[in-house]
Amino acid sequence: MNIKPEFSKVFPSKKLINRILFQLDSDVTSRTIIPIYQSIYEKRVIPIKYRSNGDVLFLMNRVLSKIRKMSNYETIPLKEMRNTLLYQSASNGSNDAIALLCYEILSNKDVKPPKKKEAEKLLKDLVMLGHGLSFKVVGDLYYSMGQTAECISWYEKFLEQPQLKNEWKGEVLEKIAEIQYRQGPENIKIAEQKFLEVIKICKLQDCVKSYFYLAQIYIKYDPMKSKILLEQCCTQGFKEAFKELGYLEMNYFRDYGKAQEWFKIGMEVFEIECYFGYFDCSFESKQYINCVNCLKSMESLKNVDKNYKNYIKMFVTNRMEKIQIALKNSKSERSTPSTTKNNANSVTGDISKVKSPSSRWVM
Amino acid sequence: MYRIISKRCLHYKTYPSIFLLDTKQSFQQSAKKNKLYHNLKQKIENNQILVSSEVSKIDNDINSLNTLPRTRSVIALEREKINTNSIVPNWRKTPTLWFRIIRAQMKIYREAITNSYRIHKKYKNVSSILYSNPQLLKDLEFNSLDKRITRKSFVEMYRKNEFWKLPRFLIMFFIFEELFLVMVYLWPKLGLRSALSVGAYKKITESHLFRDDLQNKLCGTVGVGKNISSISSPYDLDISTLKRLLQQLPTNETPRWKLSIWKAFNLKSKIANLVANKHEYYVVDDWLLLKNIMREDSGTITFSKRELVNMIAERQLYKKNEDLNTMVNNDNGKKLLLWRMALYWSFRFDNVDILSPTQNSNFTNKWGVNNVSILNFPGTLSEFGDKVEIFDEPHLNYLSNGK
Repeated sequence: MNIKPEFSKVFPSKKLINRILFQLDSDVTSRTIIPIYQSIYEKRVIPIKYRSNGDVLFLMNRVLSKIRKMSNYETIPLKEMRNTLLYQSASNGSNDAIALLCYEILSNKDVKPPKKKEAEKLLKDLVMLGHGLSFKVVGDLYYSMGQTAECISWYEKFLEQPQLKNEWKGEVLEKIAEIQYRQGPENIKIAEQKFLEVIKICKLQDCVKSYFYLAQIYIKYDPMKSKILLEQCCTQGFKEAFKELGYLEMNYFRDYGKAQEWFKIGMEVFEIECYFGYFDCSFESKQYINCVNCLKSMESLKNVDKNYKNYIKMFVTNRMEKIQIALKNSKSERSTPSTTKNNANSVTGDISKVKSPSSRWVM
Repeated sequence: MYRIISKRCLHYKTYPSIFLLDTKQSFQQSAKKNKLYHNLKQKIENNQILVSSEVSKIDNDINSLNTLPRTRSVIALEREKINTNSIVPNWRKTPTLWFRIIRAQMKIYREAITNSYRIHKKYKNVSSILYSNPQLLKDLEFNSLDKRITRKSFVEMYRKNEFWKLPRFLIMFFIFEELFLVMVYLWPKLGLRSALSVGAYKKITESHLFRDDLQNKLCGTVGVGKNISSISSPYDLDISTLKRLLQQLPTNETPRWKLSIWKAFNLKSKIANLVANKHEYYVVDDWLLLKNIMREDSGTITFSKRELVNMIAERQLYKKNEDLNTMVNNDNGKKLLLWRMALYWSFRFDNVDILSPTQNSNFTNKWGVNNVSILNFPGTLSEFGDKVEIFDEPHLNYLSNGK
């Protein structure tokens, strides 16, 4: 029989909750909400005093959402608690919660049509009432459908609302900027300004994408700025940033040691391009054993994905000469004990849309 | 002979837009596929690109007259005036000449001081971020350049720093008194740029002559086994080369002592970033100039003589003992300087869509990110591709189509 772990072991510290409440500019203290969390966790019941207080329940839901964002991870009990709180606050009249719940229902493909219709109706009513967050939710729905023009118009309506919270504002601005960035070079300047605004008003953890896109914009014109932005992304574990930073260090700053470290981290999350970069870096630094180990790791990756197979084949064809040199030299290198070992892992992940690394910098 | 065969030259052989100056045939063969060359040639032959010293004729969008030194010597000008003026009797000619020279020189200094103050005041509140080289290059490549930014405003934004020479100038004048004039004669860089005499300007250009060994070192790190033979980032070069390169660049404003400190503390990134920034300055300046030349509605573009001399000097497109100011004042020399610029642009900007660049036809796509191996490279080679050569008078006949 599974014994439920203690609440204090599952739930984050009081200090963190207080910090989040301060960030959310809430007048409710941790002394009030932690017992409610405990009650939900242990007894699956919300205390009667707060059962009909939708706003407090929604605030508690947001606290849990923040924790998830900060740690990039959520345990099952916390997830259940968050969903319960959202549902309860929606049923107790919190419009924000209703809007978010409608989004969850409408974006979920498994939900049956009658329920979806009901959610649609509720969302329409909220829009008619002029409820701010509903505009964002409608925009999000259009965004997920790929209808960018409608999406931007709804987001703009949302941004017109007075006293917007920076967190929501940043999220919406980031999405608008992302759409404009993808539309083509003519909109890059507007997108850049929006991304800059986002990183000004939001915390790093809430706007990693903006940092990444800005790094992409600056990469050809201000590599140093781009490097700093990418490093910020890496601190948040943004997967795409490792290979970008690795290639930047390798092909522009010529710092093979640093590049190798970034590629190594990328290899731990199974970014195929990081394997290619790691091989090149090791070759440049004459660490031929690492080259051979990296090749072996790539061999084991071949069976994971069809795309991988093609990319690895292309890589081997392009680097044939280097591979031969590495194989030849690794034999003599093996006799020296000081050589470092490769950290490449076996592969279980799934990566799509991998591009050829040779086209990235070498133009 | 071996020394002439530089790595840089060998490496340039692969570039399709390079011009060979060995024979007329080789020149025309190398220029055959260069679209920009043909375009510029047509414009020069049709007198759509002109050089003039008349203020009323020159283009205001590209020339910043008041920030550059004169191209004719004050002494020669005054002597010419006094010799043609019959009113002054012969016995009074010499004292009058010297009086006029001193008066003219004082006027030049007064104008230089007021102009440097005026330019400084004009751009004092303009955002330096707006005019930063990476920002402008990005805007040019994405075709989103602010319409208010012209070539004139771009160069004036840099030349405004000349104002800060004034306090130093005054302090040194009070300390050294009359001796300061001798010091300015010995080290002309101490004086205001727009007040420089022809001789002082020649001295400065001589000190910035692009040395062969440095030119070769620019691509010295490109070795066998690397796939980046056409790209050399500033970080490819060692710190001493970077320092020497910066010291030789006419556009460098960072003092020598600062560079020495950076070098002593091995702050390579600081020096490398500065070199990258200067490289971007040249690209932006060239692009803005070409944009004006290539514009369909542009008609005729007229450079001032001062601007042409400055363009050549900044890009180090001259040989030892060449006096750019003398050259620009005679027809053949003027033509030569104009063609040096044309070939330099044709090498760098061939296949770059200047007016509406796309992701596949922009400068960084052609050359790579901050590729300093093309920094101030004239675009011309001789000895069948083994020596960097600057377009000279004997090569002028290469331009005609006949044999």
